[in-house]
Amino acid sequence: MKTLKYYLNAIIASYAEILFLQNAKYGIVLLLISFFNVNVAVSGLIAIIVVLAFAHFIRMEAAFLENGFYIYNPLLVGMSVGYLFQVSFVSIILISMSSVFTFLLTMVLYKFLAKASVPILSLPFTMVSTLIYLATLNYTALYTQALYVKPHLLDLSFLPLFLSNYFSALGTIFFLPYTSIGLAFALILLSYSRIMFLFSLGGFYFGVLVHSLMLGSFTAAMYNPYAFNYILIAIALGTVFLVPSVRSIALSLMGIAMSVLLIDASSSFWTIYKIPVFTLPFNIITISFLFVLQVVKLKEFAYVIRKTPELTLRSYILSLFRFRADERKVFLPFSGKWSVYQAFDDEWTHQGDWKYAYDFVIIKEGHSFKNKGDFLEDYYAFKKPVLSPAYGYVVDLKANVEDNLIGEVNTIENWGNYVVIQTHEGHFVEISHFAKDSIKVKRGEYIEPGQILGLCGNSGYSPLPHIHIQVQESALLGSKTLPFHFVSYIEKNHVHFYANPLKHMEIESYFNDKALDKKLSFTLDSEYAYEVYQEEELIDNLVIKVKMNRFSGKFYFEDDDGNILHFAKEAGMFYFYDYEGEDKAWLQKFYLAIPRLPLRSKKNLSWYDYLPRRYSKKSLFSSLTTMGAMLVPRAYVIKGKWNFKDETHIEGILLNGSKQKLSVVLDNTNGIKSIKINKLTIKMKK
Amino acid sequence: MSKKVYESPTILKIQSSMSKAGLPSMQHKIRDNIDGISISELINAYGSPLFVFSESKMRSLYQEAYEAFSSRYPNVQFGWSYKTNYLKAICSIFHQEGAIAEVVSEFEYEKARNSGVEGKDIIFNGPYKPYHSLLTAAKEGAKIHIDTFDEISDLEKVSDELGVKVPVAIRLNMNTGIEPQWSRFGFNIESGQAMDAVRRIEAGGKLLITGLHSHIGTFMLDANAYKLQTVKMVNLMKEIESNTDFIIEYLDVGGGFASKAHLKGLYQPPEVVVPSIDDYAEAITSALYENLESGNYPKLYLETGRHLIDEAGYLITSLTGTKRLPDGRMNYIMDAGVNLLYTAFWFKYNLELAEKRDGMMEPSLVNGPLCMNIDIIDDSVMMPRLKRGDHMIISPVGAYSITQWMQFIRYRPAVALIDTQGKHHLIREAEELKDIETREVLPEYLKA
Repeated sequence: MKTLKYYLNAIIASYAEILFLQNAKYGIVLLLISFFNVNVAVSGLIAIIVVLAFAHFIRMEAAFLENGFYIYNPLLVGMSVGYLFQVSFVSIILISMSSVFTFLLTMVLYKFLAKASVPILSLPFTMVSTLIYLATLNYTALYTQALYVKPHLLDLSFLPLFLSNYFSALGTIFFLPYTSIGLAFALILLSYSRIMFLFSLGGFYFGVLVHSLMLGSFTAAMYNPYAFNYILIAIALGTVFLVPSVRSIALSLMGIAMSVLLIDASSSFWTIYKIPVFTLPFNIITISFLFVLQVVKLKEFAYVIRKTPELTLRSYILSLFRFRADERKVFLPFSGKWSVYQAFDDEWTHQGDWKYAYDFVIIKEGHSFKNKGDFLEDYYAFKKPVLSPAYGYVVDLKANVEDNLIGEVNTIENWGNYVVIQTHEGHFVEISHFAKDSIKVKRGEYIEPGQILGLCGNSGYSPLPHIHIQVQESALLGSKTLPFHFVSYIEKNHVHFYANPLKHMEIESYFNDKALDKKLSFTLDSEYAYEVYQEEELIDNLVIKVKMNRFSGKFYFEDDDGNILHFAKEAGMFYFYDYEGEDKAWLQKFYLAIPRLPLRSKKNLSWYDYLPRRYSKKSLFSSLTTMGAMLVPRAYVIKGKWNFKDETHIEGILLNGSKQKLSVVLDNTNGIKSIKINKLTIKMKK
Repeated sequence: MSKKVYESPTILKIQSSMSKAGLPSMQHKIRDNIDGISISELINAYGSPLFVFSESKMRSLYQEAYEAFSSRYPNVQFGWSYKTNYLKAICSIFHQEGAIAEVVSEFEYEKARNSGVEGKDIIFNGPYKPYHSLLTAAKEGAKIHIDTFDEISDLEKVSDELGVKVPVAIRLNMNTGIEPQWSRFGFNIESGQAMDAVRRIEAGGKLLITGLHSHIGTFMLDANAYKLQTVKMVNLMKEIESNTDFIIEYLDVGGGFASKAHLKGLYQPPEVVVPSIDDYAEAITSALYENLESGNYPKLYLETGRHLIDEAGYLITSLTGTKRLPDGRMNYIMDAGVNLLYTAFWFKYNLELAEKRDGMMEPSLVNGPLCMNIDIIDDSVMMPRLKRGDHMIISPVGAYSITQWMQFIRYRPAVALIDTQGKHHLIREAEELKDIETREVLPEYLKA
């Protein structure tokens, strides 16, 4: 029964997936619309059903296919056969063969391209359809039909050419090149995502414009049957696989311009064999762009694709402001309060290729030493623990260089005793100047942040005991350094997340407070019951369940209405992210009241965070703001400041015009006891 | 010029100006001021004898100790051991520095609360905690450290009465190679008693174990003992976390760090034998790093008392009478003795004179004012000839003297504090008759 449900979901999802939509309702609508050409629709359905039967036969996991991602290519192939040939016994055999082959090809291409984090798009469809059209040139038992179909549709002939052609281009994507069906698709896009709709419109006209410059005729460009490729490129490159932004606009327009060449080139060549070009230009252009953009690690590459471009944009902007997701980060390599002796691009040694490095010393009352500072032992930093700054493996180390006397430096073994770590993210972190024979880790050892590496010393090019840390290009000692920041540190009772301390700043590291950690430990399937009060009056009840995403393993809260709020506890903090659900749901208030908190409770300890501007699907204003955010991301977030009043009580204030006050109390043993936003209070039931 | 008083002759070994090794011979030590304020000014202001505390020394000792630990392990919290010195001013200074309170009786608990310390910032130790004090402590969220199985039962009653699960810690004792082993406090690890206590608490289902505590001794001269202690505690923590649902949020390794006081019976001076705070910190934190899984770092609590205050306390005394003893020693009778220095039985103090005195150094017996033979401050110290009215400064006396002093035979004197600006303040007035008689009740029939 469950398997059948997965298959049904898969069928619906595959229709939506053709237009990059992730929504079952839209899938059903698209499925129904496809029946305006019954032959195409039936052929498409047969193709998917055969593929699902095949997948079932080879015992493929049904849940794997549920999102429709792997079967929309067979669907397209089925439709393309149906577009050409009347449904008959022979055509069903043809559809079955070609759809299963498409499915196989999809999986093969997926295995190769997924390694490069590049989507397969409709490449398998293009390839298989070309083969079918070539093969069928020899077959006589099939009956052509497409040319005779004239579905009874709304008469939109009064529309100006430039509009009706945009619509029919949209329709062509589903083998329904009719103005009125295209209009329906346009409305579907508009209601699903304003950003997608705008890009489809802009992309189409830009492509036509470029094409008309080449052809010398606007009308000819407009009537080109493959103009739908512009729309697909605009949507895929501009909104789905890249975060909608100034850069994604520019890149998708470039792609569209190039696709003009491909369309004309391939159509000249393909037509000799009577093969339609299909989506070949779209596939080649988009895959090439994404391949390169992924290699250069473009910041706007959508590493996580949300349901709509609006949501992708929203979570991208938030992760940019909240987690500086685009940059390298390491944990502080020490315990307690240390001062920045040299920062990035500093006056002595942090220059040129080695400018992205930090030096830390301990300073008390203006000095890094007691007594006269003539001996190593006088220095506060000397023989203090150096801690691992990352998750990763020790790839290189040296441990037996002598510590220099004060004022002397070792110019031969510059780096002294050092450890090089390859982190989980693939960066290389180098720490230098350990005390002789103090390194406690081994080459190849797996290490975690906070684990002791060794003791601070004065080996190498080091005039006084200090810790040197840098992120570099390779495991090779002395390779070029790269910019990075620290995950978190405390400066003057304020926690800075993902920041770079300035020279002479005294900063403090912290370990997770186990007591606080326990309060914020939400175990799977546990439930928390709350009462909602508006000005002391009980207005509602709320039950939150702790759940886990079965694919990603990520935890979230879910209320009875299926609203979802993700949370995580890592990098020294607890935080909420990615709320999916109704804007008015009580669950979202938890996110708005306390988006994150450091796992270190200390009176008056403060920190900043960013909240999204309230986002409501309905209002035109908010969709305009979201589109504005493509151009000015800062306008989309609201900064707030939070601080611990005591170990369980947190207060916050939004730093925009509203100056809204927020208050959160943690339970003494486990959970969030209450939150308060304005006159709304949500309290845990006793 | 006044006429010299006659004195009967005695025979003394001659001290030349050079010792046998060719070094200048011993001179008596002079301390004419404490933190810049002259001894005479202090005596004029508050009388003699007088306890004097140096705020800047206390703060620097605290900061040095805190830095020694936090620069090695950031999850550190100090608890000021009230029994070491619970004068309000003293406690306030440590609380200002960030220490919470560590108390061992309901009296100390009340004192801490009265000083404005919140319940959650109090560690409640001790082998005997009356039921009502456990109830208050649990209600106020104090960190209660259980010492006996009976206390487990008491706390379960408290839990029933309050209707909540009470977070607690258990006190442990173990063999760390130190004699005497303090096995009378808490539950023994090696015999399995500690795990029995954990299972007993788990079975009761009314208490939550959140911490482990142990205190292996006092004036510990071996930093390595703390390493052994920490390892054993960490191992127990792992055993508890893997066998029960309890999560150990903190480890309290107690205190007992030595100060630079001279324990009697030790030949070498304290500067040589007493480990530095860095040695203690290194022993404890390295044991933590070597035995904990990274990321599962409990908070480290320390209850060091003596180390933070001993060297900040001085007792100024005045010479009230002199005499020559039959064995040839000079005998000086001071106005303060073991009534104020209970710890004199164990420590050889540093005795300093407020002014330089000429004359040959001779062996001297320094006594207190009590009419008791045992009232000895130092039974053999080299001193030049002193005069009545001379001031002698005894140090270090910051730890335990204020809490263990006796109102025996004499009133207890004033206590002064010199702040970091070099100004002096009275922090406890000298006692007078009414202080002592205020609690007395004379039955009617005995009156007149």
